[in-house]
Amino acid sequence: MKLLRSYPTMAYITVLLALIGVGVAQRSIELILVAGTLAAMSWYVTEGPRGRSLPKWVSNMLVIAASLFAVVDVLNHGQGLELFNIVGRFCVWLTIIKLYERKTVRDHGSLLLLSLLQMISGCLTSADLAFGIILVFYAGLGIYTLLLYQLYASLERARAVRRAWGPSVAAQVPVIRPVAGRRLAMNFRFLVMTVAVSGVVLSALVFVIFPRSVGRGMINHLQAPRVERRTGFSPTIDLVGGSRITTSRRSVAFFQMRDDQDQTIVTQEPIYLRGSVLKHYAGGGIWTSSTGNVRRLECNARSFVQFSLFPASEDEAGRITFELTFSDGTDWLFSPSVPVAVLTEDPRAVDYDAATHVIRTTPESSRIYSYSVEVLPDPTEIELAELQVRVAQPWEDASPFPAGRVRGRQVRNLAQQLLDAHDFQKPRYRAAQWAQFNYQAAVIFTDYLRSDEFTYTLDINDVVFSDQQEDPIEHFLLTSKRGHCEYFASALAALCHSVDVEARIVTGYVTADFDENKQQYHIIEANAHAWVEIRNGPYNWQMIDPTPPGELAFTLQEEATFADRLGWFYQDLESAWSHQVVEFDQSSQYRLSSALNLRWKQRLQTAWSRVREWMAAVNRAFYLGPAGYIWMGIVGLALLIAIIALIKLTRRSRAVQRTLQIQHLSGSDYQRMLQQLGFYLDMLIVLQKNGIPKPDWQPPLAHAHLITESYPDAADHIRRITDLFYTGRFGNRRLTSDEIRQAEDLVSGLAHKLQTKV
Amino acid sequence: MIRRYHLHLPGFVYLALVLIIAVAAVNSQNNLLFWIFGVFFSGLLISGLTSGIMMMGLRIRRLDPQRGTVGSPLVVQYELHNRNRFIPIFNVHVEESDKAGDATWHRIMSRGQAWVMHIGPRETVHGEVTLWPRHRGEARFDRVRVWTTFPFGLVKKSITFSQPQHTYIHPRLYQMQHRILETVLLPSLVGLKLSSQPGTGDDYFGMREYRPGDSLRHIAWKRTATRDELISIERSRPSPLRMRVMLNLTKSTDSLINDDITWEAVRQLEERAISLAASLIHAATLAGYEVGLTVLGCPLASIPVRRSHLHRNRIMTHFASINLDLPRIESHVPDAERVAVVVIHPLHVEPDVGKANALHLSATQLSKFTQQKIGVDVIPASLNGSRKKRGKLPTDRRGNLQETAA
Repeated sequence: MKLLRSYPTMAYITVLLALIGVGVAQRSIELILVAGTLAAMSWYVTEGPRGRSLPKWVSNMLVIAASLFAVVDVLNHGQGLELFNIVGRFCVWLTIIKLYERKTVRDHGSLLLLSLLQMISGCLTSADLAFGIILVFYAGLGIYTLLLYQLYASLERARAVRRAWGPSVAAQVPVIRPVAGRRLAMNFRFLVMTVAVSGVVLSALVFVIFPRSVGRGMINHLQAPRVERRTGFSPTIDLVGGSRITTSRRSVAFFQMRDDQDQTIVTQEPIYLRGSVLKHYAGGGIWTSSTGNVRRLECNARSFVQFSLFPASEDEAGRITFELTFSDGTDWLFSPSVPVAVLTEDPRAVDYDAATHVIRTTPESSRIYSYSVEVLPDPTEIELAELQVRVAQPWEDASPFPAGRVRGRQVRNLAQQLLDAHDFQKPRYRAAQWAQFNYQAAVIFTDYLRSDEFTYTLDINDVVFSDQQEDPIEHFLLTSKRGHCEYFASALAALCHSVDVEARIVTGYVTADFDENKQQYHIIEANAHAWVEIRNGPYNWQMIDPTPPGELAFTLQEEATFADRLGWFYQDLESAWSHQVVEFDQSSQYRLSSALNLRWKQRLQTAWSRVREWMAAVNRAFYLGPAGYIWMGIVGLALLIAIIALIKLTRRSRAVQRTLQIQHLSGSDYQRMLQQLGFYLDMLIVLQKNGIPKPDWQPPLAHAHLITESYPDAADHIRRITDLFYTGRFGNRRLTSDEIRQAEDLVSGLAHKLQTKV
Repeated sequence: MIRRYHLHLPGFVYLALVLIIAVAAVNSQNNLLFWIFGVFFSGLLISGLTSGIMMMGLRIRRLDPQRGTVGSPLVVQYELHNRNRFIPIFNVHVEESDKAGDATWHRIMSRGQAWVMHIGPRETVHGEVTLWPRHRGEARFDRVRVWTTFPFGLVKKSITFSQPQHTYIHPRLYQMQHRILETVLLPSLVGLKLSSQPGTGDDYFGMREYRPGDSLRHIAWKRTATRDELISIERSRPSPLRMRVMLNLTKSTDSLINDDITWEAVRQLEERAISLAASLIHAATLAGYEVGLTVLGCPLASIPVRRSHLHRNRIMTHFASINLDLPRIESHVPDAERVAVVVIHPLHVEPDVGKANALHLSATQLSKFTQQKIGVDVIPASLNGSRKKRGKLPTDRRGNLQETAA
């Protein structure tokens, strides 16, 4: 039996897969290497030409040692999720010990159970896609192996019984061989596939409909593992310790721009998506955001929620809609300046900071994966003022930087020198001219930073601070003059601050990578960027990017390589995994049910409207008026009854055909028997209901005789019905109507007698 | 046909595991655990559904069981038919189940299971179970139970078919001592006779004309030389020894009880007497004797003296159908028969029974006339549901299995 011989191999692969799964779940390459190697060697050691296995006492000692080790591990590190890691590792060592033992059927079962426990421990500690892929493979392979195990175990148990009889006895009885029909392997695979598909469908159904957010933390506060995300974006800047700026081509998001006519907009200009706004310099190269006047808005998936409390105009002409989809979700709702409305994929609350136009999810809510924002490309002063009402200070009242400004003396000197070089001085007492001054000063500083004196680089490891107290921005401006976009943005903000020009750093993404196939823009991790906004009006801020434009990722014109596409494909999978599976929650259930409801409602409504139209058309065609509906209802009911009757008739005909075994007949004989001999089927049904079934192999006469002995009361009825049946079936003549009526009466009488008796 | 689902130990363990996973998933809101819970839960449903659908189309028929002998395996065959159009059936176990309240089956027969790995859609396969008869008598097959735990071993689905049948279990046979028959029968020689018909024996019967096909060895050359034609020697028909075994069961078990012997011991002696008689007839049949049987005290017809395999089986079935619990009756002793008569008594020899020159044996002398049992006693512990009895079976010095029934 080739199928049964394959069981040890399949079980071995399943166990190995579980070992690897635990290693991947715990991100322990050491565990994979050590346990995997030991497990792989076990096959050669136990199943190889020498076929050695561990003595029982050695394996028992090893199990005790592993248990003690696990207990010590639990006492030292058994907190939270680490406890499940320890359990997983303990199961791994038990598995390896068992692999080196002599294996009985029960041991094979234990190995499969241990592998299952390992995967469960992995589920508790990991949410990685790699583990998810292993889990899916394990589930498929596990089903196959488990089904095979049932057959293997039955055969081995039968053999064990024979062995227990002893060789002298076993020699007297037939050898145990698996009794199997034809196409065993094909049938087995078919059944495995059926079971697997049913399992997937049912488990998916349970997964989807199981109520979420009910009973959370009812025993302890152990939380599910979170999916690790790398987006390149950071809401703060740490010039010394930060490492977010990379050249990674990992996909982050896609977005589309649509105009008010719902046409896709494509532009060659880079698009800046604002995330976080940093106004506060904490020193040491660290910029943080300060909380402004934040408004909480309740968003939904049906209509845009406007930010402005006093809309200047109901006319939405000129607005651009951005539809963004993030692979791994986001807590920050990125948008170009200036967002005026937002629409989310599910009902949720968002916080909107009117002073900085920053939108983000509330701390209580989960990440958002898809949303849309409406943007004013050229906002007027009135529109901006309405957006910032009660939040922004008017220009005249602005006091420059009460806190959080860069105050380096050397930076100030440098800024002043640059302004002096352009013969440019700050106007006094005329706030109206400050806007122009701020912008022009920023331009001067930007030109300086974009000059050849400064070099854009991501590799700043060789930058050495002579003094640990030295400010990184000063070091960049005066000494190293090498850095990435955060350095450039920080330097520009510092220069502006030093001459009392209001400036703030914005972090987000910048991209110009339009995917022609998907008709949308693509954001990768390397598109993370930082730039500066200069205040140039009471409510207006002007964006300036001091980073040399040729150095940005979107200008490098790198073609996506095959590795990039492969990586993006994996990321898509990972995104789907984390979004659809790992982070499936109550809101996801709500979205799904809404979509299904909507679809079904639409379909039902469409079907009903078509029926109504058709009925109306029929009415019109026949000039029936309202009575036509009654007429059609009657016809429909009759049609329904006819269909049911036809189905019942067909089923009975098939049953009679099967019972009388007249499949080989045709023509009038076939029709005659089909019509006349149904009473015999009725008799068999009566007998079967009373627990006297007729075996297929038994001739009717023999069956009648047998029953006659057991039920003498009904003997006469059965004998007469069988005689009539033989007359019709083999007598080569048509039964008369009296005979048929008599047979039917006999069947009724038999039913009455047996039921009263039984 | 009775269909049932049984949740056995693995099923309970599985249910407990499912509950633990459900609680863990709810507590931690871990979606992978929710999914695993879904997989486990659907596994339970699929296990029940699959086995139910599979077994719904299964039909079984017990093929006519052969006669069995105590100590020898009885192989019972089944015909299993899968009526499903698409669904195959896997891992089916078949076992005999006695009627509720009827302990006869387990007294006579050990448990056994037939295992059929696969039955394809609309296919028929044959499975067989090896049973070990424990006791002489009529074995009444009643119900066949078919069950499976496929696919996951969680839920046991069984169907019980009612198929009453019966067979006879012949008594235990012993190998008789070497030349015991000659020793026992030669003193009387009443079973000997000369045949009055020509045949293929060794004795001279007469002469006749040569017929084509006669062996050259049978030609009487001297007589042929005196005549002008070939003359063949004709031999007589073989005339084997004739023996009638009379089993004396005229006295009831209760009447044989005294202070030294209990009811059970007497019943055992009666069984031994039956075995001795059967063994004697078995040995005589192998030696070419014509044998007959008379059971005194039981309402069974006397079996004439004949020699054939069928005749021997008929006698053995006669032994199997002896019911020691029935009241004993007066029996007629056949006379005017030229046979050697051996009378076998359960306990004390009663010389009045049988012919005057009959040889009387007692069941207490069984060990003197027999060498060893034919066949073995196998009561596999795993089939009898006792874990403690598993392991090495008791054997004597030669390695033969010891008699456990006694």
